[in-house]
Amino acid sequence: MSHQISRRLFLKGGLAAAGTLAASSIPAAASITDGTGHLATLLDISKCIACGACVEACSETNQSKYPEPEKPFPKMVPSRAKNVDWSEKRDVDDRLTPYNWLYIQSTYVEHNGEEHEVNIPRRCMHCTNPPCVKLCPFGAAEQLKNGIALINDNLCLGGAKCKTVCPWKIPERQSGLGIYLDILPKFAGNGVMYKCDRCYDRIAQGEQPACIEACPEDVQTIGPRDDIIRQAHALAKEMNGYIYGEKENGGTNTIYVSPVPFDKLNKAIEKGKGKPHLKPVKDHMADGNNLAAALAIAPIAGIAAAVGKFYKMTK
Amino acid sequence: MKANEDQSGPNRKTLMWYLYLISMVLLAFTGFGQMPIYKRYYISDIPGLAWSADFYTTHLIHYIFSALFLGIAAYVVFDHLLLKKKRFALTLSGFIRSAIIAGLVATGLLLVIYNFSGVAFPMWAAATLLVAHMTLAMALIAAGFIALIGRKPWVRAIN
Ligand code: SF4
Ligand code: SF4
Ligand code: SF4
Repeated sequence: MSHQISRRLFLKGGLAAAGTLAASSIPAAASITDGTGHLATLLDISKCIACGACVEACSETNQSKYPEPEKPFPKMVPSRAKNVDWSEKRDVDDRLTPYNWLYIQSTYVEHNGEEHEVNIPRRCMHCTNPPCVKLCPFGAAEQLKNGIALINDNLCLGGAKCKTVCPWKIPERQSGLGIYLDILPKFAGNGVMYKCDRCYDRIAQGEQPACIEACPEDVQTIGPRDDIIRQAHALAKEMNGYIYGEKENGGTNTIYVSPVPFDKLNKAIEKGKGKPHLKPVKDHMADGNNLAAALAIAPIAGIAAAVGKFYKMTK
Repeated sequence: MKANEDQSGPNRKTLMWYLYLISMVLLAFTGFGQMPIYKRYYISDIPGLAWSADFYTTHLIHYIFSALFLGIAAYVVFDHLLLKKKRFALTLSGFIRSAIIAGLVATGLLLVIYNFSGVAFPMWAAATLLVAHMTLAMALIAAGFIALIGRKPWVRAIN
């Protein structure tokens, strides 16, 4: 209990500022968050026993956010676009679905002559510069000031671009609900995309995400990103372990620490639809952002050309 | 008229005009390609257009042609101010298209800033910018076609 209280207090004191900003009020203007305003989670996967308490807690807590689609679904045109229905398979918990935002990836790996059973809670990484948010063509996803990447079910059309651009293909579609039904249901959109929202509403109230609170092994810790990175490095040093998520996709707010190297884990885990990999990931937004310099230089070159011509003509 | 005076009326099909047209076509194509429609509607199945379904590729091409477009726009504006202002004035069609382009540049630059790491816009701001950028793009295409059909030039000579 005292542990619980101290965690609560820690959240309330240290994180409330960042947390409450998240959802309680709509910020008036753009904000520059230098990364230090972000909350991150540390996952010590050497501790996870795959009990599934976190998966259950996520589902219980976020029940009210789950999709309730209307049936029958609109017939898609062209037929290449397929309806996706998870509403009859709400209990699936061995992969990510619109009704399961967290699952445990379990595997056995050999490392340094030892056999390890490794269980990895998998969900959205909450990238520090999330492509799912930044590249959504309708602005239906948002990154809160505390770094949480959030899809708005009132605005999402379900075109799944967020999933296509996500390095881990995290968001999952449910057809038969959302604003596409009010626009051109056959021709544009196909439902709403769902993924872990890091319990932004609980965080805004100074509470911990449900999965963190429910874990009997204290696998996860949440805190300001800088602190979490420091803790992760200390932990990795202590267990002679490895880190995933600090640098991936230019940095995420989900930092895994494992006693086994992640390339070995990536080979061993089952990957595929709804089952994300653990590969190294380059910064997906970097190429575009590097090109932004050209956008600043080009008009200067244009002006220089015009001025050059002017001098030539007036000589 | 002095011998070395600029003879090219701004309505002529100069190199700048062709560059403007190319950048407009590619900006429109890659811009609409930010919506997940080219794969769904088989555009990316057309031989040579497979890249159109790759959002990161279309995003990069959009940036490259935005840079080209900004260069052309800066050149044309300064060339007009420095050399042509006394002889040519914007027509109504030219004024409307210039205003739309100014809006596209402003919303586009804000979206470039939005994409940087560490920049978070509230959802209403991002959604408004995106819808505005898209609406202005469609308005420019419409204004361009009206100008083409109605033979409305950008500028007219001042007597
Ligand atoms: S992991 Fe994927 S869904 Fe999650 S924030 Fe990053 S890009 Fe978005
Ligand atoms: S943070 Fe919340 S939404 Fe995300 S996995 Fe944990 S319980 Fe589920
Ligand atoms: S509750 Fe904790 S120990 Fe149990 S599966 Fe989840 S992370 Fe692992």
